[in-house]
Amino acid sequence: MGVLLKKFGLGPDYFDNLYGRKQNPASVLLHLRFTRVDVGNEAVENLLSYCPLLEMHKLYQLPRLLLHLRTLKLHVPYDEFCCIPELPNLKHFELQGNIRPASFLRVAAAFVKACPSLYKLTVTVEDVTYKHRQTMKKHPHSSPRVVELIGFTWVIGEIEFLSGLLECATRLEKAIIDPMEPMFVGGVVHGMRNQDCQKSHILQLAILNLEAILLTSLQEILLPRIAVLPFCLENMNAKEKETEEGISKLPDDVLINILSRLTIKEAAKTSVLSSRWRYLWTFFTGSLDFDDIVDMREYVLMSLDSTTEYTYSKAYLIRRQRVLGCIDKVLGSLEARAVEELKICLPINPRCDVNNWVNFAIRKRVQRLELDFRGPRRRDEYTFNFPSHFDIRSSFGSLTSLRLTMVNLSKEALENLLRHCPFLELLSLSWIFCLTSIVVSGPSLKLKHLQLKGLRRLKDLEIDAANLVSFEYSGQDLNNVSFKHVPSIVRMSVGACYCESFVNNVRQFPSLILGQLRTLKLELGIATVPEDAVYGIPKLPNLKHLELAFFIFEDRFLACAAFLKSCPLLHKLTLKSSDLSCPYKRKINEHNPHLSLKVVEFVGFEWHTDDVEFLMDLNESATTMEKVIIDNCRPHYLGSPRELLYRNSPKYQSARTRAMELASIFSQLKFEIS
Amino acid sequence: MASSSSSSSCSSSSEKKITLKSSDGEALNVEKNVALEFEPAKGFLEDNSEEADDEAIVVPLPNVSAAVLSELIPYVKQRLELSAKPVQKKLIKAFDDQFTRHLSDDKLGELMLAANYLGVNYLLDVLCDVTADRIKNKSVEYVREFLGIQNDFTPEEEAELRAQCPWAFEGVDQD
Repeated sequence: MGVLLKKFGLGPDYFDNLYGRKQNPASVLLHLRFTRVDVGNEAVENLLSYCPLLEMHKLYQLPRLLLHLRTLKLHVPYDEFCCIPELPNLKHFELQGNIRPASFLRVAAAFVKACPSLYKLTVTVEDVTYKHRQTMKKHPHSSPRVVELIGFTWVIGEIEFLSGLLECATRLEKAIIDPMEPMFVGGVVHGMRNQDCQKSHILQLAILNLEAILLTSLQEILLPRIAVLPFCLENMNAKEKETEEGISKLPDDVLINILSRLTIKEAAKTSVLSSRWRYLWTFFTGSLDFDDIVDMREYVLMSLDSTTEYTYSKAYLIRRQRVLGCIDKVLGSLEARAVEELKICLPINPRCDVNNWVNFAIRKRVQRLELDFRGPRRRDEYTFNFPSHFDIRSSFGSLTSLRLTMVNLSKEALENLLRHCPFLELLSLSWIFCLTSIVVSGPSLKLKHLQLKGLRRLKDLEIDAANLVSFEYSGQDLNNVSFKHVPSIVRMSVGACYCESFVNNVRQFPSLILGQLRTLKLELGIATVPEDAVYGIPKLPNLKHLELAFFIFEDRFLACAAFLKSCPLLHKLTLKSSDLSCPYKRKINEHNPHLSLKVVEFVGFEWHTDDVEFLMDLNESATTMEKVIIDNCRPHYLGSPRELLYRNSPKYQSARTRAMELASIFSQLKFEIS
Repeated sequence: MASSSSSSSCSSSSEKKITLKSSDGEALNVEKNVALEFEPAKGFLEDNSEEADDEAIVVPLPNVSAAVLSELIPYVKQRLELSAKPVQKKLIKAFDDQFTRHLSDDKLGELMLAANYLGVNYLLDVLCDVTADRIKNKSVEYVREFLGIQNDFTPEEEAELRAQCPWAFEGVDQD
């Protein structure tokens, strides 16, 4: 006679009562046989709940039962699981335990794999004290939509477990978090949780951690869906809020979302708004920019021609000291699990604990890190030795962008960085004097942008980066430059002394790379390039944008003419020049009868007659020309404190007036004059 | 405009409509895919999936007024259409900007509460951005007023808090 089983639950108490003594229910389960039990299409609720040592090989004998199982709750104190039969209809799997995490994770992984239609996964942690990490392999066809986490206190081990778990959950829509310890759930304490500050603190941690994990470990898969991930937080802000109105009626996580979009300075200011806001800012997850308090007004300029670049106002120096002093305090008070960016651009002193800043960046899974310790004067600068190894076991996997300026970075430290930052996309190194050779290589390198500037002792450079899109180099001439495999490169920028040798030896440069380039920027500076070298420039068939910057370059129009000849598809030409006028001798229209140029940009031209003549010829050769962009500020002042001063000088004003006159001469062109 | 309304009317024959009931008792007809963007409506529809006729279902949304809902629905609808196409992020950003540019401060607050309740997180993020932009570089008093915060600090307490991070309270723009 068959039995139609609709709902079945076993608890430890049940066995206690049954046998009258404390007995391990698992052993009971071993003798449990389901024979002639027919399961209808109805869900089987709580089957096998509280069955430690659930023997899956026993379950194997019950394929028909498993076929219809919709809900399964397991309490697992052991890790005796190896293979789990397929549970085709399982919708909700609940795992509760106090076990070694590696196996905990293995059980969860095995179940996720065995349940193709799993909708909800509940993980209840009673006590996790584990050390090692094990990642789950992805099972794209069996991924839960809802993950429920109970009792997580967000210690490192739990977070690692969770990131492994969520890495599989490619279809995750919802995470439900209850910070209550499982033993209290449903009890008196459970009802009192609203008053429990610590729990709400854990809840805050939970949100931020979850966000951090999703952001860092699931960059490619989950990022686009982050926005649709609602966190169902139980009773998060059940405290009295009648006195608040408008936006203040929103829960804390939304308020943290708002203040994370402010600067850290603005966010810290919110601590005085009210007692509710007192500590909200410490959950800041945005961009920590300790540079934002300095602006152009802080500089005191002597004059445009003075030898010292610029100096600071006294008030600024006092404030800078204060900012330096508060960095550690601010970093120390931040509770968020993850912070988007850390940017410290200030000259440091020996009292600064830069190691702490770097460790903070690693701990808080920073995505963008920038350290710029440049000051106005070179000599009294104190530099910092970037660590050649990190104090962590796992990698700095969150980092996508790293900019270091005036930091001592050794070869070993750079290698360590490239090895431990697998998702690094942008690497910018400036004014680092100890590097003599750089090797950027690795089969899994994600690096897209490499910027090297002012690396005074650099001699050898080797690049083997399949994803590299742009490369910028400005500095000393190099002994060896080797591009091994850069199939994606489309942008290149070359400056300072190396530019001269680049142009001189451009025929030796890999033509494959030159052929790929879409954007090329050359800072010819004070270079003297012989005429035949300029005319020896090979064809750049794909180049769309060319930027040439001259400072005391002898014949800039010659270089222009030569380059225009080599770039048949050029769309935009940018010319940057200092005040020195240059005779326009060789007519460009003799060399370039047909140009496809559409946009020309002039920076720092003063519009002497030669310059105007050049523009006329250019306009004649390039019948497709539509737009002229003009900025009369000298290119090397742009972005420096001198820019403001120069823009107020009579020289600038008269150049601007002449530029305005041009607009009336070339009435068919669109002019943009800043 | 005329073409878009005709295309929506011809697609509505195949697409199911759901009725949402606002806090002030008004019934609004929306496409099912739009309704599913609202968390409470989604949950409600899942729980009542046995009902054969979607047309008969009325989803109560007791925390959102009809005025706010009627602003949200076209936004969500257009946003869904945008994200269905392989469009650039720029276009979505431009659409969001256009939606938020002329919002009054009061409307901003109402929409945020609604977006939070309805779980429309992409809108909530955009609105958080707008809010952050509007309180940037403003005085503490202005921010309190803007966010509807009741100050429960005594002047002495507030002064002490300010003294704890002096670097944060320098250089504030005019409100």
